[in-house]
Amino acid sequence: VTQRLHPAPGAPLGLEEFVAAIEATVDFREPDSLCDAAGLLQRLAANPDFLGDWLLAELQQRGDGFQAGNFYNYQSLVLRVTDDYLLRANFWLPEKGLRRLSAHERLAFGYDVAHNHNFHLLTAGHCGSGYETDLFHCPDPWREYEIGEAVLLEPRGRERLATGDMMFYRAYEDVHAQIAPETFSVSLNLMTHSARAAVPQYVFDTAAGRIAARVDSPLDARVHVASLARLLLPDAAEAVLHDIARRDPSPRLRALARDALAGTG
Amino acid sequence: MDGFESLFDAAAARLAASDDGGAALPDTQGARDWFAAQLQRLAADPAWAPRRAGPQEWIVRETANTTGRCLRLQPGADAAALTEAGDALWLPAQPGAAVRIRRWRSDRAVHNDVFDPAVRLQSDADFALGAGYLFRVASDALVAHRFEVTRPTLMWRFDARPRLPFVWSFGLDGVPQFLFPAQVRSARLRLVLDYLLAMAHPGAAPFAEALRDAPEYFLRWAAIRALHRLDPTRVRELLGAALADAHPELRATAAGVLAQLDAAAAPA
Repeated sequence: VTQRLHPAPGAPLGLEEFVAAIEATVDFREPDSLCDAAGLLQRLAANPDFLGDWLLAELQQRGDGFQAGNFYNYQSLVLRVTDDYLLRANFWLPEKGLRRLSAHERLAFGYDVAHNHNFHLLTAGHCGSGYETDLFHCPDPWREYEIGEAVLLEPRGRERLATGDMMFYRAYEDVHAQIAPETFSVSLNLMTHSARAAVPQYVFDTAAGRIAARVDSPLDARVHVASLARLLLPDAAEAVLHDIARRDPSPRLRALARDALAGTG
Repeated sequence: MDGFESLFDAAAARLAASDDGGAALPDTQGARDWFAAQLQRLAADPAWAPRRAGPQEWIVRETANTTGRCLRLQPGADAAALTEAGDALWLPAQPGAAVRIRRWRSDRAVHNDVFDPAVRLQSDADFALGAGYLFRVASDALVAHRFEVTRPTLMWRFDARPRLPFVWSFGLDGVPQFLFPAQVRSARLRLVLDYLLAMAHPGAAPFAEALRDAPEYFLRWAAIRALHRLDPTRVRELLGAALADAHPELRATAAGVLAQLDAAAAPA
């Protein structure tokens, strides 16, 4: 269940200190270990200068290559990525800043879209009023749902991630929908990578109590590449697709591969 | 060097060259072998997932100046036409691919960053892809393409870094719908400026000064607003300079605000 964390306050940390500390102490395979890093992330978030300093240094150093290789929407800036974790800053525009944007861009901020994650996420409010978020618990997160299938989420109230606040969202079981903050806000996210998931990540229609959509997984790329290659090297590509359809540990990938072979993917 | 790297480098060199006359298009045979190697890797390594691959395209490599991807063309009409913001090179990935290219061009000279609802796209050319197609973007015209196939077809596409700041979306009736920044980087710069201001970071002012020369008018206007917020006494200097901006809406806004300031300062 989504947790609001209350670590003991400490002196603000610089980015290098923070990175050194988490890489020495956190076992990213264990959600409890990630939770234990709450104090460190809160101390990084309490540093009012580190992100601005880092952004300007990156812009100075990388110029036009600033955030090249960051494939998130523009609201997310990636500070560090390793084999174990990813650290990013998410920017949240208030409603008055969204009015000039199209509905498509508004959706990109994820406001009012209930979703779960296929990774654990520890987050800290760094500046601004912070987004509010409606929380739900998915009582049966470890099974695969069809689009439109009923799922009775358990409401767990509304929380705000204000400056200095900490939250921990567990993979799959925690569902939430963010609401635009009153003022421009930034949160810091320390997150594990998407699991080689047997279970997909979903978008939920909380009013209707149904699965609204399935979120693409980076692992889907295995099937996408084989499907593209099928036009060029049909025998070899189909062999790969058959292999994924038969043997991949993920039911999701097996289904995708079967759809691709059937021409429906 | 593997086959895709060779193709990528040849395409990047071709896009960067100022003289296109007579040069042969890059050979794609090596990239076909490279694709076979990727399939072997997929089969051998269940932990490997290529990055940035979707159902219709795989962005294989991206450098500061060139993006290379393979994409699947599908039969059927698109719902909209997007204009090109930079030079591009299209090559058939499959031998004997039958691809027709329809090209549209704006019916008048345009400023890429000034939305004009009266502009229309008009059919400009209709030809077979053949061995490939190299397109050079022009600063005074909007050009869009549609690739037409009768069966799913694999292509290579290489894009130079956008030279125009905005992409326009047109309906298939040729009527413009909206424009958006050609590079996500510009939207991120706007957020960085907002953040530096929110935190009262000492780097906010120099960063805003640098953005006054940005190619995107919305960044230039954000810079003016930021500098005014940091030092309200500069309002007339900032707006006065904006009267000479290249973007007419920005000039008009600056003139309007200056007129309001003059009216407010006039004796009652």
